[in-house]
Amino acid sequence: MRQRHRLNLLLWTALLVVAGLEFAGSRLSIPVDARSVLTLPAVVMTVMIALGYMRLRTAPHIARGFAIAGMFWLIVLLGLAMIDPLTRVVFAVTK
Amino acid sequence: MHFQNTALSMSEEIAPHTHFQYSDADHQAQTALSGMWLFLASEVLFFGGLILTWMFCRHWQLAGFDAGARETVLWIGTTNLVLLVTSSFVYSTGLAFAEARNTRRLIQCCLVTMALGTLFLLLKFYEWRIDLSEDLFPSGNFKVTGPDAGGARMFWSFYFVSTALHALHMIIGVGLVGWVAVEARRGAFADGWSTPIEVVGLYWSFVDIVWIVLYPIIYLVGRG
Repeated sequence: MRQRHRLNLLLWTALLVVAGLEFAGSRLSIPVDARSVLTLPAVVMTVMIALGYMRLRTAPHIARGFAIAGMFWLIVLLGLAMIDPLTRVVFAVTK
Repeated sequence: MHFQNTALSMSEEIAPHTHFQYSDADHQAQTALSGMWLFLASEVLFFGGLILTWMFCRHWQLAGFDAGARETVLWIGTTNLVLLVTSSFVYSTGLAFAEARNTRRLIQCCLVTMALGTLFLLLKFYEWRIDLSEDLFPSGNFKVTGPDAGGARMFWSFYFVSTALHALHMIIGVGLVGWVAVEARRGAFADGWSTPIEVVGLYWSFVDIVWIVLYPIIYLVGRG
């Protein structure tokens, strides 16, 4: 139990550090087009919580399958939907 | 018949929470955990639609979308992030206590988790009040005017829908944690049975993750 408490405390501290880095990063002058990189710490924190507090590493195999499937379909959803706006060339209307 | 009754009572004595359709307590626990993970996978796609909305709208209305994001109350969003991360830590600690059969500490952890969740909701309601008082609701008189108004309205539509859906999940989560506390008080987890606590913990951590993702896209990315 003591090991579990130590792990929880360590994870909480690490999450706050990553959140702090995320906040500090938002204060930097990042070009508007590249400011989406500020979401990367959130991805790191998500993985930390899934593996730590949600115990995904020790979860049943099928549960891990559901978690991977959820992330897979999220990537498909976001990736396919954004292909159009990211690849479309907008031409100016001529008279 | 007599043999059956004896077998049943022995089974109940060994694993009193195991329902008849499961081969043993471990099978039941794995099924419950897997069921919750399946539900969370569907929730990922539910909130994924919201994230897609943010990506799509910001791509086409970059200046207006960011103009809207700059009007958000940063200190409340940041405080709420710390509150939720801490609440996941406290609940997870409570789960560890439950596994060690320390019901008193489990109840305390549940109450602290509920308090942190309630504080989050109160701050969120206060933030909405500020937003509405500053004409940031995307209809009628709107604070942002000029060429950025359309994009800003899009941002605030996204903001109110996403934060309201998250708040709804939070209210359900606080209720579930309260249910765990009540069941613990009744002695349901005194024998070390912790599957319901773990299942509720999965839900609570997921709601935490949703806010972790919403925080940068609402409060940070647009503040160039």
